[in-house]
Amino acid sequence: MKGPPAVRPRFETLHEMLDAAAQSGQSLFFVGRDEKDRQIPMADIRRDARAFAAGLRDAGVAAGDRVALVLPTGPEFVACFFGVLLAGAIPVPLYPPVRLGKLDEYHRGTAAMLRAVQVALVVTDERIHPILGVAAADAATRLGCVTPSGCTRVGGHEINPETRTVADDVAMIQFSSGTTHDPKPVALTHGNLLYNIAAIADYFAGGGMPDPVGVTWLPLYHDMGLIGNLLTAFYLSRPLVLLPPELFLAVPAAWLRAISRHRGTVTAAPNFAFGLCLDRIRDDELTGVDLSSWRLCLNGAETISAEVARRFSDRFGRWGFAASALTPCYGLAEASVAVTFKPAKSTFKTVGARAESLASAGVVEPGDKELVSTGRPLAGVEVEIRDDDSGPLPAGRVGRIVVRGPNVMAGYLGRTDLTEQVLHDGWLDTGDLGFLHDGELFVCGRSKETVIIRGANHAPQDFEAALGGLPGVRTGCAVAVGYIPAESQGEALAMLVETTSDAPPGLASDVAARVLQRTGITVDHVELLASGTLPRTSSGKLRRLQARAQWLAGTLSPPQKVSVLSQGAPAPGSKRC
Amino acid sequence: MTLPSGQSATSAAVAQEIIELIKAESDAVALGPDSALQDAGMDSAKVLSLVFRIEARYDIELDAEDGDDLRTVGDLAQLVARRIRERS
Repeated sequence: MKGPPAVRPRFETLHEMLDAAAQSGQSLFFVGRDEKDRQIPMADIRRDARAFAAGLRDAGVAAGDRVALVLPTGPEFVACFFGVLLAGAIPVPLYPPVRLGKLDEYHRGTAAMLRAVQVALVVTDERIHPILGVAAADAATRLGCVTPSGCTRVGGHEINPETRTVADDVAMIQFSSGTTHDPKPVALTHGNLLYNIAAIADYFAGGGMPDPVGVTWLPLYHDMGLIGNLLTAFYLSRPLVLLPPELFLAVPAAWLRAISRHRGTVTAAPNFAFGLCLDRIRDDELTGVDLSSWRLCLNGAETISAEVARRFSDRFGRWGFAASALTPCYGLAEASVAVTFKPAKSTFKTVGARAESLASAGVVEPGDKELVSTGRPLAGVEVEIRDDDSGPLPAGRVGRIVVRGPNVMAGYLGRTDLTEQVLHDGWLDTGDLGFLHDGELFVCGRSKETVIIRGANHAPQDFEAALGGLPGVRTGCAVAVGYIPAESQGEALAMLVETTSDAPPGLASDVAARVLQRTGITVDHVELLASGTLPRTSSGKLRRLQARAQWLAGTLSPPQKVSVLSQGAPAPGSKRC
Repeated sequence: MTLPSGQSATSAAVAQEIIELIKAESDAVALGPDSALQDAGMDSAKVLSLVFRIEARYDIELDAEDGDDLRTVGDLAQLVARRIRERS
């Protein structure tokens, strides 16, 4: 399935894009925690970016160096992101620590990401600086850790020597779904980003929205917020309203009020955000709010619930929200951000499928599991469904979703081993399962083991490692899987855990408490299992996807008792639980 | 020194307000100053929301390092009461 022909981007590099945006007279609007707006002209962003770039050069940053950005949503993030680029270096946005969170986990994860791309310098704000010093030291960053003000050349912005950047140069690195210990650095070129943004802009234009006004609370270290919102606003020289993510989480009505105040037309958010709005916004918080300007409400980055989407449209229709605005979409970090969008001006489609035939036979038969269409490929993007031998599958058959296009990453930086696993002849194996129906893509599962919670990808190993040393759990004999609980609004985490014979009562709550404490993610279900129940490979490795399928089908059962005589000896060198 | 509710900013008064804020975030029913924060079922999104509400309500700032020695609701209340004193 092919999208429209690729659209040539207006700019060859993000540098050219910044120059054009700075001359447009447009601004970013940063919403404070009191919901007051602070207007920052794009011209000021460019000025600050140039002074910062000069400071980076003075500090010893060289062309091609990786510079990590650990900054909250604010003008400094944007100026530093472009400043790193202007210095000829490569920005690597990373998530800031959660306050009141456990710092040792944060240090470990951050140090692993810094090491994975050999970051030369970490840029962070005054509040986070004392904490990041540890991670930066652990990762032995060449130039340490600085704040933007400590790295800005006062009164000067000549960047010497100027570097010539071309479309094939790496423009940024975003971390995808590797484990905390082995993160996957997705390297995106200027061309990757600009082709993807040009395709998004083409969709806007085709949908009669050539001049969008974006309103976002998405974190800027996430592809949807950074590329889909921020860089797209610069590309089109259009205003963007940015809320801190925690303002949205605490006061979701602030998002809708900002849309109303700025006559916002386009937003992007994961499924959970719509559930949060339904649960937490009171009618009296929306007095005077008018959502009729909201033309495009993208819903992606995690499994989409048709019911939540419909309830959202029904409820907020009273304030002028149009059901046709709700736009399911599909994408992933390895494809920059966006792959498919619902066709503009239509209402999103669903199919009712039989869950058992999807999972076991890979065919779409009528049933009561409602799946949401994520639409059609954007300009220049191709999507195919393949079987396990990479053969193309016809419509109505479930297989691996593969994607090709100018937005697909060059590879994981410095990790040809990982790159070769997912890129073949320009086709990216997304690790997601889906099927084509009526010329649209439906995502219905995953061939990768990633667990997606609130739009963020998590490796199961991180949840499993949290159980290390917990009395009652057989060492290394637990798997973490994602699933959609009945009557739930989205994906949740389940732990399938083999227990020791002396497991204490209350072990299930111990497991849930430990995972929450170590990872900040709530466990929705704990299944305690007899020793040897989890399916394994012949070498003793746990098979997570099979364990998940058996658990959901109710066929996860303890091993049959066998006599000692018939029991084979373990293969030499194999590690049995 | 008083709370937005008009009470004086003792740890006990702050603890009661924080318990109410946590209850607004999670399904936890029986919470007291000695309850472990993790028993309140606060995931990372709820913690972000709680921190935001605490900072906005008391006009203080909590730091990332603050989390390391917090175990109970009472610990959090003491920290908040200390920040309120430092502010005024």
